[in-house]
Amino acid sequence: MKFGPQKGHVACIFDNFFKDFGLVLIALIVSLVSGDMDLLSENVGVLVIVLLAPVLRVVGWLTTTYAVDEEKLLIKSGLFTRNELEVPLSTITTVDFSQNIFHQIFGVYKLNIDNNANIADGQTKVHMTLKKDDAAAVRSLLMKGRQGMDGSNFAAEQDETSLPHREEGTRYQVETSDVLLMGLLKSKLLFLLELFGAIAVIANLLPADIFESGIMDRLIEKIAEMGATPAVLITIAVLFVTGSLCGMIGSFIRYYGFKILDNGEAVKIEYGLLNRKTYTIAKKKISGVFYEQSALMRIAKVGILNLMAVGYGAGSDEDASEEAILFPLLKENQLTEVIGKILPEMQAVEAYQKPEPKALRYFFIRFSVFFALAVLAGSFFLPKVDDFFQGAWVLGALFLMYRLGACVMAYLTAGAYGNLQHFSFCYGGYKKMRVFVKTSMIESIESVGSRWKRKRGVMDINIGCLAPGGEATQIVDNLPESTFNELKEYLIY
Amino acid sequence: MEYKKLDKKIIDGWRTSRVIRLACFLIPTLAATIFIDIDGLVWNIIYYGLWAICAYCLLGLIFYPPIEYRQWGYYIDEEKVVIRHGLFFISQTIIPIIRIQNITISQGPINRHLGLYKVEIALASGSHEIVGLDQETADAIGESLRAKLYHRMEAKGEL
Repeated sequence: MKFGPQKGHVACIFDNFFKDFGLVLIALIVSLVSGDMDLLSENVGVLVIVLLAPVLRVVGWLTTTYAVDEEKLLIKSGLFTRNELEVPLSTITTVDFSQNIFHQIFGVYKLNIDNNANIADGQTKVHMTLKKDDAAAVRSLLMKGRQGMDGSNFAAEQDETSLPHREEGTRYQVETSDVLLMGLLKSKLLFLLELFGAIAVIANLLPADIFESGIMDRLIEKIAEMGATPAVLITIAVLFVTGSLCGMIGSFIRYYGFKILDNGEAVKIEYGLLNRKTYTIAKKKISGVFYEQSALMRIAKVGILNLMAVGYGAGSDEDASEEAILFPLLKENQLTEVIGKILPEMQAVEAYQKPEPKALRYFFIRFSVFFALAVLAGSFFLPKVDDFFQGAWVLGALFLMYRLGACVMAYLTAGAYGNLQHFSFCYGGYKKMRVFVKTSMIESIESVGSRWKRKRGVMDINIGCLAPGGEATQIVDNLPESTFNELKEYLIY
Repeated sequence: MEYKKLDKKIIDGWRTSRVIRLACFLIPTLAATIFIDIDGLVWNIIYYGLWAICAYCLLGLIFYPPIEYRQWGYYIDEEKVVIRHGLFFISQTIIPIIRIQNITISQGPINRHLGLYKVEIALASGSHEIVGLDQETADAIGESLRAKLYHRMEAKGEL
C-alpha cells in the first residue's frame, strides 16, 4: 500500500453540520432567548433522533479506513457488516477539494472522488476528509494511477503534489455584484418552496403564546377584509421580495469569490464563502454547456452558463441542490464568444431550426393549460362557497393567461440544430434553456409524437447524452420531421 | 428500412399483464360494491372513478395489445439499432451501436410461461428494450450486437 490503511480526520463528523443540526440550533437559540427550556424538553424525541447523526458519524469515522495502491482505492467500512469498496484508479474521473468552515478551522480538506458510475443509479462517490499533507499525498497517488486513463480530470494539473495552487491560463474573476445579481434574478420557485418548508418547521418550534397573543387573528382578519384577489397579489409581491433578498444572500454565501481558470486542457472552478470548493474538469470530460435564463434574466439579457460534466453539479457532493455553474452571470451577446473560447467544438454556432406555424396548436396541449382552465372554472364556483372569493375569477383568468403566454413563449423559443462538432437545443417557456452538447457525447436520438402529430410532420425530439442525472436527456417539443432526419445524420456511428 | 416484428405471442403477454392490472382495480371495486355503503360526494367520486378505471382497463385489454403489436418494430444494421413502439404516442429511437454499455437478455414470469425474452440495451444515459423475442432471436440479437460493438470499437481503435 502506498497510503494507509488509515482513518479519515475526525473533522468528518462535522460534515453537513448546519443541515443536520440547523433546526436544533434554532430551537436552542429560541429557548435561550425566550428563557423557556420547555421547548427542548417537549421535543426530546426529535432531539434524540437528530443527535443520533453525530453518533453514527463517529461510528463511521472509527470503522472506515482508506488505502491506495498503484491500482486501486480501497475503502473498508461498517461496524456489523463489513463493506469493501474497490475503485480502480483508471476509472476515476474527478478528484476535487472542498472545505467547509469546520474543515478550515481544523486545517483539513475533503477530497471528493468519483467515477462515471454515478451517471447511472449506482453511485461510486467517495468522500475522504484528510489532513492537508495526507490529502496531497492521496491526490498525488490517485494522479499517478492515471496511466491509461482517457482524458482524466488530472490532465491539466501541473504540480501533482500540491493542493490548489496558482496555475497559468486564462483567468476569469466573477464580480461580487454579478453573484448578487444572479441571486436576485434567478427563478424563485424552488427557493420559495424551501422557504415555506423552513417557515412551517420554525413556526412549529416557536412558543405557542406568540400565536395566542392575537397577532395571527388580526392578520387573518385583515386578509379577510381585503378579499381573495388583493390578498393573493400582495402575498405574491411579498414572497417575491423576500425570495429575491434571500436569493441574493444565498448566492453570496455559496458563490462568493467565483473564479474560473482555463488552462487549455481543463477548466478549474473555485468558489464559496463558508464552504470553499475547487473543481478541476478536463475539457475532454465536458459533455457540453447550457445557458439558463429566468424570465427576469431574459429581460436583463443575461443568463447563467452551466457545465455538463460528470462529477460537477448536482450529486457531485452531499448537496443535491449544487448547480454546475461555469459563469454565474453572462451577457447574452458574450455567450458565443465565451463558449467558443472554452470549448472550441462549440464555435460554429448556427441558426436554430424552429417549429413550423402549424405546430403552434400542439404547444397548448399541456397539463399546465388544462390545470389553469380547471382553476378558472373553480374560481367561478368558489364565490358561492364564501364571499371572500368574490372576484377570484380575475385571478383564475390571469393564471390562465400566464400559462397561455408560457405556451406561446415555448413555441417562439423551441429550436435545434446539429453539426459534426456539436448539437444545440433551445427550449422553455418564460425560462429559456440553450443547450450545447458535443456530438461525440450524444448516445441516442428519439422522436416521439402521436400518430396525428406525426402525420403532420411534427414530433418531439429527445436526445440522450453522456451527462449527469437530469441533463442526460434533452427534450425539444414539436419540431419538424426534417430536423430529426438531419440530426440523426450527424450522430457518430 | 424494414422493421422486424415481434413474436405474436407477446400479444398474449401484454393481455396477461393487463388482466392483472384490471384485477388490481376490479377486486377492490367489487369489494366496495358488496361490503361498503357508499355515501357522500367524495366516496361517490372515488367509487365511480374506480369503475371508470376498470372500464378503461377492460378496453385496454381488448383493443390495445393488437395496436401496440402493429406499431412495435426494430431494425438492426452494422452501425445502429432502431426501435419503434408506442400506443398513442409513437417513438422511434436510434442508438449507435458504439454507444452500447451492456446488453442484457432477460425473462419475466409471464414471458417465461410464453417462452419469450427481452433484450435490454443499456447506455450511460438510460436503457432501451426490445421485447417479445423468442430465445433464438434474443440470443442472436445479443450475440450480433456484441460482435458489432467489438468490431466497431476495434475499427475506431478503442479496443
